[in-house]
Amino acid sequence: MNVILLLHITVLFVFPPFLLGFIGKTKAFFAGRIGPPLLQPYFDLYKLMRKASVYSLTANWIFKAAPMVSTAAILAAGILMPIASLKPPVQFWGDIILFVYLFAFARFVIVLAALDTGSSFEGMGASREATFGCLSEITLFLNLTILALLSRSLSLSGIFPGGLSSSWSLVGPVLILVVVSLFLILLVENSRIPIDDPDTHLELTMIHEVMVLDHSGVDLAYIFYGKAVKLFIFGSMVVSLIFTFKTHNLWIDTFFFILEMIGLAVLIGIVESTMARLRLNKVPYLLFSALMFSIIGFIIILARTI
Amino acid sequence: MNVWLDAILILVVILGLFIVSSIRLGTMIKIFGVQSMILGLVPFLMYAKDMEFYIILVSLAAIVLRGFIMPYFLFWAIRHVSERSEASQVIGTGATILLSGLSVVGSFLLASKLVFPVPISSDLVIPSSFSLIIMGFLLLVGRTKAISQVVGYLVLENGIFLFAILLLKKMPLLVEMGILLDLFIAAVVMGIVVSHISDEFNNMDTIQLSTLKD
Amino acid sequence: MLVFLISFPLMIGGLVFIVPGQKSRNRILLFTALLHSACISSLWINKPEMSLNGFLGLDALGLLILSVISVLFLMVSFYLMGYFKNESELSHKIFIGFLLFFLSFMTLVTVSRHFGLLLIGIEATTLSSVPLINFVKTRQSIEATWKFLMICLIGIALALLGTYFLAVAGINNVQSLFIDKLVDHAKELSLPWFKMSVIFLLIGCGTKMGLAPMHTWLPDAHSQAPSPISALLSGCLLNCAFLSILRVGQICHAAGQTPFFSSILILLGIISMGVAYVFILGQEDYKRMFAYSSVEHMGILAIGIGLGGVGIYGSLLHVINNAFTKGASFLVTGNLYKQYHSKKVSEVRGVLGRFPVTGIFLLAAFLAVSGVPLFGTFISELIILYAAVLGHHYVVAFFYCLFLALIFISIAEIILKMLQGQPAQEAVIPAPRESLSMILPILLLILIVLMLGFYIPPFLNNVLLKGAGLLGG
Repeated sequence: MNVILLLHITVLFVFPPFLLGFIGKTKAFFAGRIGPPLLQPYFDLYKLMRKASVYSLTANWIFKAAPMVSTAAILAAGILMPIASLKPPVQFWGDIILFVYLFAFARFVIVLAALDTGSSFEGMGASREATFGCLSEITLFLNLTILALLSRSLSLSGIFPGGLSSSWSLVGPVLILVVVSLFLILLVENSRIPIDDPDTHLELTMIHEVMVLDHSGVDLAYIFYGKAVKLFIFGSMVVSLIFTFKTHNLWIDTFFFILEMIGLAVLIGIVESTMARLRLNKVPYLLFSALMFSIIGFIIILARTI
Repeated sequence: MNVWLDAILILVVILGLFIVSSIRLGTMIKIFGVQSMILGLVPFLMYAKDMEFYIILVSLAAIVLRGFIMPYFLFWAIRHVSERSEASQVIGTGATILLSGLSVVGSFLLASKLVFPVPISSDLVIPSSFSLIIMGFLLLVGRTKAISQVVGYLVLENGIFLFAILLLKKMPLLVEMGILLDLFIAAVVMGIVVSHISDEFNNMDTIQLSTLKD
Repeated sequence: MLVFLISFPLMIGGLVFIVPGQKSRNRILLFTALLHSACISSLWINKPEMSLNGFLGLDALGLLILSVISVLFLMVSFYLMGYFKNESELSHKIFIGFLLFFLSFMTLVTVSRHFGLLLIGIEATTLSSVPLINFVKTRQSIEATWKFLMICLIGIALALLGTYFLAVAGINNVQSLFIDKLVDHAKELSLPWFKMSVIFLLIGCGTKMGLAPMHTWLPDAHSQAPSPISALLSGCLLNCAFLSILRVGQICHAAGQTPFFSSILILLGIISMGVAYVFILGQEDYKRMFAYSSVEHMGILAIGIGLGGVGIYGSLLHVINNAFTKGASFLVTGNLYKQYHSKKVSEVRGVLGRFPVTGIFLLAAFLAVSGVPLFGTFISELIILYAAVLGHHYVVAFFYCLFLALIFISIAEIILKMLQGQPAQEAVIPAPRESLSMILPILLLILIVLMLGFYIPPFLNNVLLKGAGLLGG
C-alpha cells in the first residue's frame, strides 16, 4: 500500500514537466528544428525558482497567494485521480464533483489575481478564460457523468482503472464520443492550439498567457508547474479511457502508462503543429461541438438504460 | 456487428452536425459526400447475416450516386459563383448547433415512443434517421444561399434513406431503385436550376428571390 | 394497354427532340393527345385487366381523373397550335418533349396500384414540369421555378417518409404497399405508425395539391408559367395529388380511422378557402387571382371528402368541374396576355368591347369559377353544402358559404373591372384576332361545364358513384 502511495505521488509530482518537453520536441520536429532538450521544462523551473518576484504597486495579498493556491488545488485534484492501476491516496464516493470544482477553484483564483493587477490586458485574458471555462466545465461534467453511468460508480477510482475495460465492446461508440470530447476539453483547458497559442508573443491573441503576464520568479514557477500538472491529469483521463489493458503488476503498468502519456504528448504536439489557431469568435463553436458530442453520448446511454 | 453499426450511425449524425455548423459551401458539399458514402455502408452491416444481391446493389448505388456523383455535380453547379461562404444566415451558427443537439434529443424521445414492430439490429437507426431529417430541415430553413438549401434537401434525403434501409427487404426492388433514381434526378434538376439562378443573379442569395409577393 | 398508355407518350416525347420544325412538333403533340384520349374512351367501355404483376390497374377513381387529364391535355395541345408562333428551336423541343413526359407520368400516377410507384409518379411529374414553368427565362420565372421545386420536392420527401411509415405499420401482417392489399388488411395496421403515416402523407400530398398552408408555390408557379401550362398544372397536376390523398382516404376508411382523416382534411380545406379569400382581395395580377382560386377549389375538394357520405360524390363531381373550369380560365388568360401583353389587372380594360369573344369567355369563366347556377360548379358545391348540413357540421357549412360568397365578390370586382370600360390609350396596339385554336378549346371546356350544370350522363354518374363507394360514400 505504501509503495503504491509513494509511486503515485512521485509520478504525479515529478513527471508532468517531462510532458511539456515532449510537446516542444514534437513541434520542433515538425518545424525542422532540433528544439529544446527534453528536460528543458525542469531547467526552466529551476531557473525561475532562483529569481525574485516583482510585484506591481496595485497588487495585494491575493496576487501573491494566487499561484501557490492554484497549484495546490491542481495537485489536490491530482491526488484524487488514479494513475494506471495505482489507487489514488484520497478517494471517496462522489469525488468526481470535488475533482471538477478543484479545477474551477484554481481557475477562479488565477482570474482573481489577473483582475487584481489592475491592468486591462490581464482583465481581457481573464474574461476570455472565464467565458471558455463556462462551456468546458459543463462538458467535463457531462463526460464524467456518462462515465459514471457506464461504470456505476461516482468515484474516480471506480471509473478509471477497472470499470471500463469491458465496456469498449459494448458501448464503444459512446466511449469514442467521450474520448473525443475529453480531448477537445483538454485542448481548451490547457490552452493549446487551436484554442490558444502557448508560445505567442502577441498579447492580443493570448488567452491564458496574458492572465499570468504579471507573475514572475517563484510565482511564475508555480504557475508553470501547475499548468504541467493540469495537462498531466487531463491527459491521464484520456489515456486511461483509450488503453484499458492491465497486467496487474504495478511497475509494468506504470511504465506503460508513462509511455502512453508520452504518446499523448506527441499527439498534442502534432495537433499543434498541423492546425492554426481558431479565430476567437469561432472557439465557442468548437466548445459547442464538444458539448454536442457528450450530449449525444449521454442521450444514447439514457435511451439504452431506460 | 452491432458495435460497428452503432459507431457508423453515430458518425453519420456527427457528420450531419458538421454540415449544419459549417459556413463554407465547399466544406458542406464535401462532408455531405463523406456522409453519403458512410451511409451506404449501413445496408451492408445491417443485413450482414442474410445478404442478398440487391442489397449490395442498393448500397453501391447509394455510395456512388450520392457520395461521388452528387458532390461533383454540386460543385459544377456553383462553378461560376465567387462567394463560397454563407454571408448571412437566418439562424446563426451557434443556434443551429444547439438546435441540432436538441433535435438529436428529440429524435430519441420520439423513437422511444414508437415501437418498431419487427426487431432491428441496432436501436440507433430510427433516432439517427429522424435527427438527420431535422438537421436537413434546419439547413433548408436557416440558410439563404440556394446551394445550402440543396445540401439541406440532400441531408433530408439521407435521413429518409436511412429509414428506408429498415424496409429494404420488404419493398420490391423496382420501387427501391425507382426511388433512388428519382431522388437523384431531383437533385440534378435542383442543381440545374441553381446554375440558372447563379447565372441570372450573379450570386445565389435566395433573399433576392422574393419579388413575387402579394 | 395500360403500359402502352404510359410508354408511348414517353417514347414520342423522346422522339420530339429529333423532329425539326415547330409546326410538325405541334402536330405530333396533338396527335399523341388524340390517341391518348381515344384509348381512354375505349377504357370506359371495357375495363382492362391489371398488368405488370398488379402494379398497374384502373379503378373508378383512377379512371375519373385519368379521363379529366386526358381531355384537358387534348384541349391544351389544340390551344398550343396557335399559341406558339416563333420560339427558339431548343426551348420549343424541350417544351414539347417534357410536355409529353408530363402526360406519361400523370398517366402513371392514375393507374398505379402501389403506393411507392404512385409517389415515384408524382415526383416525376414535378420534375418534368420544371422546364415547362421555366419556359420564359425571366428573373421572376426563375424565382417561381425555384420555389415550386423546393417546396414540392420537400413535400414529396415528406410523403415518401409517410409511405415508409405506412410500410412499417403493415410490416407484420400486410407486408406490401399495394393499395388493394392495404385496404383488405387495413384493420390490422399498427395504429401509431399508421396515424403518423397519414399525417405525413397528407402534408406531403397536400403540398402538391395546393392546400394551405403549404400552397405557397402555387400562385408563383401558376402566374409565371405560360398560360396553357398553368391550365395543365391547375387541372391535372393538382388532381393527381388529390388522387393520392384519395388513396390514403381509401385505406383510412377501411381501417376505420375516418374521423381522424376527415378532421384534418376539413381543417386544411377551410384554411385554404380562407387564405384564398385573403389573397384574392385586391389582387393585381389576374393569373395569380385564378391561382388562388385554385387553392380555394382544392379546399372545397378537401372539405367535400372530409364531410363524407354525399360530400364525396360532390367532391368527385367537383374534380371534373374544377379541372375544366380552371382549364378554360387559364386559357382565357392566355388570350388576354397575348392581346394586352400584361399580367396586371389595371392594364387590362374593356375586354368585352375590344375582343368580344374573349370577353364572353372571361365572363363565363368567372361565373363558372364562382359557382353560379347554370354551371356545373354550382351543382357540385351545392352537393357538398348539402353534405355539411346533413351531417350537422353547421360551423363548417357556415364558413364554407361565407368564404364562397366573399370570394365571389372579390373575383367579381376584379373581372368586371377588366370586362368593362375603355382600354387604356397605349394599349390600342393592333392586336391580332384570336385564332381558331385559341377559341375552340375554351368553348368546348365551358360547354362541358355548362352541360354538367344540367345533366350528368349516366356513364359518368356510374363512375362517380363507384368512386364514392370506394371511399365509403
